[in-house]
Amino acid sequence: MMKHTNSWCQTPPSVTVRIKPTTARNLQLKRGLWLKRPNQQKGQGPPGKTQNSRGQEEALKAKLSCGPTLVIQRQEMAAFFKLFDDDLIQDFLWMDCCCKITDKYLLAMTFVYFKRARFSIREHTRINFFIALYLANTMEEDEEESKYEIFPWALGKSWRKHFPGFLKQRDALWARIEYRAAVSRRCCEEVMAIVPSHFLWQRERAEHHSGAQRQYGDRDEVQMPRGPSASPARCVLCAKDLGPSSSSSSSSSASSSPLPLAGSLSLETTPPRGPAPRRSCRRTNAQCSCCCTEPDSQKHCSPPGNKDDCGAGQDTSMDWINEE
Amino acid sequence: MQNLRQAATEAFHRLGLKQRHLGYEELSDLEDSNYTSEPQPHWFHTLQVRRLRVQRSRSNSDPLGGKSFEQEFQWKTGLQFGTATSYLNLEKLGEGAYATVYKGISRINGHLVALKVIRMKTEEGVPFTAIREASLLKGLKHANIVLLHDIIHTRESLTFVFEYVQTDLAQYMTQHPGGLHSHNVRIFMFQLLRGLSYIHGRRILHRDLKPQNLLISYLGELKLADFGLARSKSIPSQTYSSEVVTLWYRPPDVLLGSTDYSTALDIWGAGCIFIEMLQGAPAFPGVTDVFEQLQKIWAVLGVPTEENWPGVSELPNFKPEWFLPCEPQLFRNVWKRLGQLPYKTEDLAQQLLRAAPRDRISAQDALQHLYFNTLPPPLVHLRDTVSVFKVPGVRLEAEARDIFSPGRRIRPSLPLTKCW
Repeated sequence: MMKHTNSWCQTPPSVTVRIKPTTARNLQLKRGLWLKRPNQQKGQGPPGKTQNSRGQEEALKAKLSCGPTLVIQRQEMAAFFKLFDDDLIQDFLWMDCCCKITDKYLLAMTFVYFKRARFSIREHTRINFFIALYLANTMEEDEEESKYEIFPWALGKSWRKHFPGFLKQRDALWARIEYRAAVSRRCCEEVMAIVPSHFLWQRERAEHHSGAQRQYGDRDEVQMPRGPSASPARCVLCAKDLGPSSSSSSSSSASSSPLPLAGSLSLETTPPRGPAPRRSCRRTNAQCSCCCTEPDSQKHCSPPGNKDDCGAGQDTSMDWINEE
Repeated sequence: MQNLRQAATEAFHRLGLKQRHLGYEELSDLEDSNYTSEPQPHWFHTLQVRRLRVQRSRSNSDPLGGKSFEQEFQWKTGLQFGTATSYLNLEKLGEGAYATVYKGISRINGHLVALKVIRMKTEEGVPFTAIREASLLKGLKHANIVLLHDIIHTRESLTFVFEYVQTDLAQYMTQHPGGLHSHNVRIFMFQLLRGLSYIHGRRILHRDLKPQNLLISYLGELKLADFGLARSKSIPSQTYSSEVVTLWYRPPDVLLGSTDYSTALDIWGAGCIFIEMLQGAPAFPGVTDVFEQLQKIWAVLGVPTEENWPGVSELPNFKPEWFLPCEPQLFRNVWKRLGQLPYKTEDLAQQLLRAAPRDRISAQDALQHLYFNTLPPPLVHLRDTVSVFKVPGVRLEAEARDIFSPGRRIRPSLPLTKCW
């Protein structure tokens, strides 16, 4: 029998370990190692509990227990929003008026993938957006065909020739984010909470588009991607008229001032300076750190969506993105 | 031998089911072929391998048959995770819809591993099932969830490296026919619900619970495996398929076409498995399509009405005129074993197998059920990553029947000193 099933040999002592500053630094180092060697992680043990994250030390503990966290810098959020200045992407969103492949959660996941992949600002490109969005759809949607609509928008007229390469790029992105394509709802919501008024986060999907039936072969028409040249399909369910939607107008307003950074960001939400500052922490304090507490700590909270009980109040604006 | 053959046939059946995440049409094909033709040699071969493995599992805390592996094999230092050369393939264990599973050994640390080699089609990239499985498992660390150690990703292939676990509940039940020891059922059930409680707490649904997806270690540790159909239910309004869960373990709401399911989906499967462990036979078996499957369920629970299941009449497949009228039965009259056990057993089964999903007990609440109060109290306070067998006094009892050693009761648990 393998040693690892005898987990008592290796499991760390207690979940309520107080992490001293030095230990914390070590943890950071180990984390760097662990990126290459996933198996080494076990020794660190399960994340602690973050029930009472009051006071700086407690908050630090919470931060460490979250596992790897992402610090979102102002310009990264801005760069992501800037993607939506692109006319093609705007048209693409407009086409998906029912938000079947671009609802707010999928878009938030796309952003989280950008972060997890550590895309530089230069890599905030149209094609990377489509690749990440496709991965988000792969992860979340049982409806398999809707996402094919992405191909003609991302690859142009000759998409039939190029889509295998596109899928390879999706797989490469999946590898680059260390095979962690799962993003919790809480994480999505905390990303959205940074600039809650942005038009992207208004893209709610209607309830009637939430179920799916697997399509079987005897169906006559195969739903083919329509692409940029066709007008959007009329949705019988939504019976939505496809006039100039509010989203396109709000997008232009958003693009004129890409970061209407109200609320959370202007609070100058530098997280409690841990003794284990991330590189990015040193560089700037115009940032918003974000971590979705890992489920381990989350389970002490109410289900996602009921954040008030979670201790991590909006005031301290501990918006964390969890990488685990 | 005849017995063995019979068991083999049953096992093929299970292996066959494992072959794909079946829709019901495929299921009916298998049903037919099973009873009309000889099993294919390919499967027979696989079973031989498996049979040996099961026999050996009684002493396989020493997987290399007494040889000192450490001495014969120099562990390579400098070997990396994430590369194929770090693992040796030993034997093929089975084949699934999108992957082949091999037993292997890690050259980094000598651990036995299960290597799940994903088939990749150049046109399609990595199958979505693989993307979901690895992405979810990466975030799950629990004693009752199979552990994903490593991922080997090259241009041509993708391999998941899992901890190696000796057998699964389907094989275990084949080896011990006629229903399992009630004590062991309790321990398995506790672990199953513990694993479910953990994933459900993370808003993750397994969606493919069945005995062959519950791995069983030589000690009796149960681990949820095969997250290929799993997905997170945390994000509202995402699309769901009703084509999930092998037919026998599919809950009535999903059979009726509901796509609005949640964690109660897995609870129904757990209830079916509970009955199957006690009875030694599936709870709702042997049907060819969704309607027959529903009829099987109504025969026990009665045809639901708007009164006892508000909203049922709005589900796409709900056609009461198609169903024979049935009255609810006492579970003990349907599944005789329940009548021989204390009432709390039947009570738990009833709470797991409620037709209306919102009436089904949650995994977390089920763990508090009276049925489990004969287990040592510290079990409730275990940390996620600690096995229930760490608690003193928790161990499996010998099963009454064993097809591999008929006529003698074997001690299933082994002295820990043999563990390496």
